[in-house]
Amino acid sequence: MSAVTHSSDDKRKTYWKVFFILTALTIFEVVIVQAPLPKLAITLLVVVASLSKAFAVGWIYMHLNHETKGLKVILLFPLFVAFFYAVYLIVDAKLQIRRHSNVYVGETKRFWGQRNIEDRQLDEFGNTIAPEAKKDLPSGEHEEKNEAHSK
Amino acid sequence: MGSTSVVHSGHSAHTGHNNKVERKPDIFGSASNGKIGMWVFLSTDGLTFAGFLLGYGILRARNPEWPDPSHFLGIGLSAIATFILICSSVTMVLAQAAGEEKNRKNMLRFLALTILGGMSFLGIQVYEYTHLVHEGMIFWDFAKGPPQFASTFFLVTGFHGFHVFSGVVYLMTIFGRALVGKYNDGNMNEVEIAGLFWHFVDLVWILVFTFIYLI
Repeated sequence: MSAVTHSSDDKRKTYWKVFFILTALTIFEVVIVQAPLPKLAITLLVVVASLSKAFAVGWIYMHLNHETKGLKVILLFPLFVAFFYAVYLIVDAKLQIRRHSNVYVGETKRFWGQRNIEDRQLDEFGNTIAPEAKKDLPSGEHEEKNEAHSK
Repeated sequence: MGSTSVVHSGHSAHTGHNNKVERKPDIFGSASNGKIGMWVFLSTDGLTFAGFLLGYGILRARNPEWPDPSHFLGIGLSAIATFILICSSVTMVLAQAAGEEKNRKNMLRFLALTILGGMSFLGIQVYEYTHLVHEGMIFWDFAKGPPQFASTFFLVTGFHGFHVFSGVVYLMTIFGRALVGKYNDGNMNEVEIAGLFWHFVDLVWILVFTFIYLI
């Protein structure tokens, strides 16, 4: 709105710069998920990249940089809360299933109609052994890799 | 509040043109009423998406049998869709910039390109859905893995696709109004509000692409 201080050519230059950054980060994301890195490292890199992209769109394209502090706080505060709430709950769910996988998966199965989890074998820590480690699968179709328990 | 000095009096009269109520500069500065309304709507809409993604995250974290999405979803195709949405975002801001300079021809051209981008995105999504349904993935069941994988996928991408559809209709309305010369005076308040919605759709897709397709 009050970008009267910028000449419109400057504005266009910024828009195109953001466009190239967004494209570059998208390519980076698509490439990095196929890289031979630990799953956690890939996840963190991709999440940081996508949050920066979202921030760039909000800040430049939606002109949040030209709004007052009051509007920014009102808009962004609930989203920050939601973000940390989500991180807490998802990490908590992940940790619970690591510690008590037999209990939780049993409940999940009964409640959600989960299939393919009969004949599960637990290692000495109580974690599920990945399906491809077992050779006696009842049907040959379930070949998909399961990385939920690779550490 | 303390931020009143941001506003120049001439500018405030300029943006107040399309509003029935002329507001004195307050905590929101010179932002028009419609713009504040759209921002608040987008914030709550963002919370809806956050709720869906949160549910997805918890279902996935609790399920050790969750498949790797790249085995079933076409990442290349959705990367192209992401790129198309980014392109349509940049054409949207360029349309607004052209309109502020009273360059009517460029404004209409860029608005049309934005609409085209949105339609291409919807086309890709229809193609993708058709493909997935043929592979046994429907809203309440999945032939090759946990049914929650299919449900959360269709819920999140479908809700987003509905936003893209609404955005295309919204932008078509704006395009029609631009065509009959409503924005020839360089007052782009309505176009900017439509742009806010459109950029939000792009922003959400950037996150959905990462959380649903890539991770």
